[in-house]
Amino acid sequence: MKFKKLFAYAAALLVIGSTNAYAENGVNPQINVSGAYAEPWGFAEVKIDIKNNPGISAFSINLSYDEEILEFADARCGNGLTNGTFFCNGSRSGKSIKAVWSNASDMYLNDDIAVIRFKVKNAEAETSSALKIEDSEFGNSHLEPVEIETHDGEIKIAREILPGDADENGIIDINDIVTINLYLLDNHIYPLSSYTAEANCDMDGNGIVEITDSAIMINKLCGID
Amino acid sequence: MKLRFKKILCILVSAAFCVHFYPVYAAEDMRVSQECIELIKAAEGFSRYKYWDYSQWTIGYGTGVSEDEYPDGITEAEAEQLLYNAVVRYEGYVNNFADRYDVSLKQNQFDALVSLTYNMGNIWSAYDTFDLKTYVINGSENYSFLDIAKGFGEWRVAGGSVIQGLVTRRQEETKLFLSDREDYSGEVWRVNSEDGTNLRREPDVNSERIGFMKMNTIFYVTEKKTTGDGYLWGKVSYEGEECWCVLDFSKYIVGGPIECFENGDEVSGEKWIITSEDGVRLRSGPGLNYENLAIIPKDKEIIVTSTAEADGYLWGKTKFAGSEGWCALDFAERKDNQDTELPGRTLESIYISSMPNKLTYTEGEMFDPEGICVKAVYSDGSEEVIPDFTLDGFESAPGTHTINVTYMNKTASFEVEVIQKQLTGIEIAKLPDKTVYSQGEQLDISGIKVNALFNNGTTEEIQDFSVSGYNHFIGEKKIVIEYQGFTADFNVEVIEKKLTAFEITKLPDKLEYYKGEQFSTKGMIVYAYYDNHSKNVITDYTVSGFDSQIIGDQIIRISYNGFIQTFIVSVKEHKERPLTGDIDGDGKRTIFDLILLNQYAENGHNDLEYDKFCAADINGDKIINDLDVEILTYMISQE
Repeated sequence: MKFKKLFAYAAALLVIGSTNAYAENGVNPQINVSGAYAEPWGFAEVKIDIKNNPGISAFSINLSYDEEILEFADARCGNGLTNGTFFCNGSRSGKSIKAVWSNASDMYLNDDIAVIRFKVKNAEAETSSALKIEDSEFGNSHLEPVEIETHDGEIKIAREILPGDADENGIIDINDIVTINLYLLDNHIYPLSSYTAEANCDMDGNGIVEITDSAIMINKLCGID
Repeated sequence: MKLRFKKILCILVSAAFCVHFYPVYAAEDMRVSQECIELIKAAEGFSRYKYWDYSQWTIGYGTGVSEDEYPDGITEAEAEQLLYNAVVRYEGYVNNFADRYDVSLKQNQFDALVSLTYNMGNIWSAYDTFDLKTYVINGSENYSFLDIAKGFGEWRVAGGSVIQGLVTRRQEETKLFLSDREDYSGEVWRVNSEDGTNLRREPDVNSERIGFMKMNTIFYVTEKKTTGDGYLWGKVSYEGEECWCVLDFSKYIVGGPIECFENGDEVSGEKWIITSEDGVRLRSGPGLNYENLAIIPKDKEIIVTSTAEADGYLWGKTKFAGSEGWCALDFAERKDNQDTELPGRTLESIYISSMPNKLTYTEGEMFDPEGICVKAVYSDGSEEVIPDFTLDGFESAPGTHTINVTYMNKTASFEVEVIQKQLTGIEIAKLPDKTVYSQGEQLDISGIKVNALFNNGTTEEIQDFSVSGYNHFIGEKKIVIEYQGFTADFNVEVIEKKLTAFEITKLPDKLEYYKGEQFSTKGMIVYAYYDNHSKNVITDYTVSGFDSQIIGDQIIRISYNGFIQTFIVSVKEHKERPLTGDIDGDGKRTIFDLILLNQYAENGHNDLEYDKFCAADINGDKIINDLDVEILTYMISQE
């Protein structure tokens, strides 16, 4: 057991010391659509967040998705919107939704502005649906347009998700730790084998396989919660 | 040494080489003081460049140098140092003389003899025929001032004639030599007139002439007298007989003091000495326009019996050359310590023989010396009332103050007490500029002058008083001024102000209306003008003349207290109802319409234009609120 822990820590440190995949965000305002993993017939929750918020009083975001794979379930405003009126219509065309929010004064929080839930249809596993911001508009209380960069997201469909089973052998052991850390070390040389493997590695469910997932996985394997 | 001494030096120095010179050593005994150096410097004068003086090259303060020295001249500091070096030799002469004859010299005597030696050589000490040598060996204190003056005076003659430069220098050396003596019994004078001076039996130019003294004769004066002809006469002894000579033609050397009488009486006026180089005119009266009687020469002592101010000068009444007149004392100097010092007595002390009537004062009062009497006590026991003492030390601040009485460097003192002044009341010395007010005006006390009254009879203007009693109601008001518990008052009147006109200085922001809109006065400014020349903004006017259902121009009437002003607005039809939710009128519904709608719903929309109101009232309930926002949000999300 001691050996396992040491190995796990060494592997984690190796990843921490070598990765530069997470560059610091710039100062430009950004809207990001998060990724998500889901099983067929399951639900996928994606978040739209704002960074470097210059102050906005209203927005409208038109988000498209693959209607063969996903179906809009519901939406709510994110933690970043403490006031104002939010509405999101998912039944307008069947392949895109439009989220609209407005307020009398500017909002400056850098946080989620919308949380959207999709239901996965009886789709074939190992497929994905892009979540593209087709058009968007932002304005402040002075009735001025606000330019904000937008970044799309993706929902990937896994077969059956077993959190921690990075190598998809049905067993969660030290090999899974090695697998995820090799992936984090260089995902081109050591790619994960499938969306299911990625979903198994996305321990925190934020749609991204990252160093925190490795740490969670090590803790779980070591019995540390 | 100056060129004019060439002759005497030629003779004297020649003689000096014939006599025995004492060995000269570095000065181990006495050294000259700075007083001696200054005397030599003044007598020799300064020459920046060397010149040939009888037998040697000379520079600076008469110091001998070689031909090649100081080709570029010499500074005064260098010359003084050169003099210090040179004078050592002459100090040696005098010291050796003193040693040889076992004479103890005082510093002033030593200085005087070194100066003489520096100038004339040490011949004076070589021959017994010279009186000065005898006097010094026997002890100069055993000889009179006149003897000593004559002893030095032997060295004023050169080549059989008197050299004035030497006369002056010997005088200075005589003064220095005798400066420590106080046993004088008269004054030593020297005849200073080329014509000499007559000796007469009485101090009168018409008196018998019994003798004559030629220029530079040194003589003793034992009494002085100013006579009716204005001359100052000196009593002298001539061949065992007392006689008089006019001192105006002689020069004082040393000695004194002696009595001076005027017309046989003690001088009752003040002694002044003419200081102007050109003398001072004696005029028949105190002023520049009076007749010129004579010119009183410089250094002439005059007796001033009274003074007057005229033409910017202080004039003194005096007598000169038989004429009584006035001269400007600005060109004369009053002699010190002469007030009541009579010969034979000195002022011992003064005392206050009678205290002033007033010894207690109130702060701020002036000192009043009335009643004080000060007496002088003299060495002969006599006492005299002093009329012209000085008083100082009074300060008109609370406390006890010592008043010093001073007269001729003698003082006496007494104490006075100054008690703090007390406020006894206040008075309005001057009313404010404005005492009539129109209704609504603020009280303005500009121009008022309020005085505090004190128990010492003084007043003081005050500023930090309080004012009460004014209000805006019509009628007479008693305005009360209060200061430290004391009050004074005056009345002002408040009269009703009358409207004389009113004016719309700015029309309303909105002058064009759509049918059905309500009239708004927003932005309109109306002033009312009153008969007291004041004005103020009014809002309680009446508006009439607007009908929102009538299309076209309409005259709006603004009425206020019977006065009317008008302006025109227009009412027009609506073109068409705007797109619901298109609040900014750009033809579409966007998030910017949502922002506007949010702001209207939150901040109000009373003055919203009709078109915008229609566009913002999404549900048509004539109210803009959150419900409209929710509906428009939904609408935009559907588009």
